[in-house]
Amino acid sequence: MVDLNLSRSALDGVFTQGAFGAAGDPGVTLSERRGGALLDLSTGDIDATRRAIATQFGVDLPTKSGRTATGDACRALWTGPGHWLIKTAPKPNLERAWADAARNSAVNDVTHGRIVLRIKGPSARDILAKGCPLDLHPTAFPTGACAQSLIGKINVTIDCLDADEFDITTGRAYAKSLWAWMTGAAAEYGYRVE
Amino acid sequence: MLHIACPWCGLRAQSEFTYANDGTLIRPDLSNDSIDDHYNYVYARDPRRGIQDEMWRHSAGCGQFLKVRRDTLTHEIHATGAPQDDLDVPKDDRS
Ligand SMILES: [Zn+2]
Repeated sequence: MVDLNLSRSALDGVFTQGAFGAAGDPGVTLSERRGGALLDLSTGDIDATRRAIATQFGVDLPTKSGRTATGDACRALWTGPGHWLIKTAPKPNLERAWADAARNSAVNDVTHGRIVLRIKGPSARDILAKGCPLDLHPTAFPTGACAQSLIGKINVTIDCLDADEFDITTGRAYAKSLWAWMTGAAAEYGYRVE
Repeated sequence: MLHIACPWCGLRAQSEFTYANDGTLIRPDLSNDSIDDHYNYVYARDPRRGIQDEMWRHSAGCGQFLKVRRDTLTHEIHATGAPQDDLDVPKDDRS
């Protein structure tokens, strides 16, 4: 098999660590999440797939928009009816293991096609709200919620990990654009890059 | 900016959606060899000044197609539903 060396992140060499923007306590910390695996799971038989995945991987795939569920070393985000984004630890034959469990579904390892940015801090919601049409008030988008939407016109999946902590997943080709948007939007609050 | 109620995701901004097509089109059966029927299905449209049914896609959200009953004059949205839904039936009464 051809080694395309796709383990190189699309953000390699794009950012440097340190403090940027407004002086004082940083409004947010920005970092790239590396080392995790992402699976795209879709099925025409939601009940059977949910049963199989619950048995095999201990996660109850959510059936409602905006919901996430956490299982044995994996996290499932609702991305459409019968459609989920699975965040899990990388391991050999990961795609095959999930496909074997969920017989009536399509499983694709999309790890190398996406990047994940983490934004954390008291200004996180204000920064995201500058470019995202979602209602990001904590009552409308609480811890454990997820959504697919736009940030600066870039398609993203937003995963609310904590009150002021979000993982933003986007396509690899949009990594630099999203990074540029994010740092521009965060500058007025001051931000740390880790 | 419209706000469109996706049947799956709830009320979302228009920027997350893409207009798809006239929502009343029914593709002629493939056994139908009338050129006119196929031509009309692909090209002939009757844009309204007023209420019309449209197909949209929640392209930056759940990716699903949905039906939207919209007033082209006032931009008011009267109903939305899944592609198979009858928009004349109130949302709570649909099976
Ligand atoms: Zn939707």
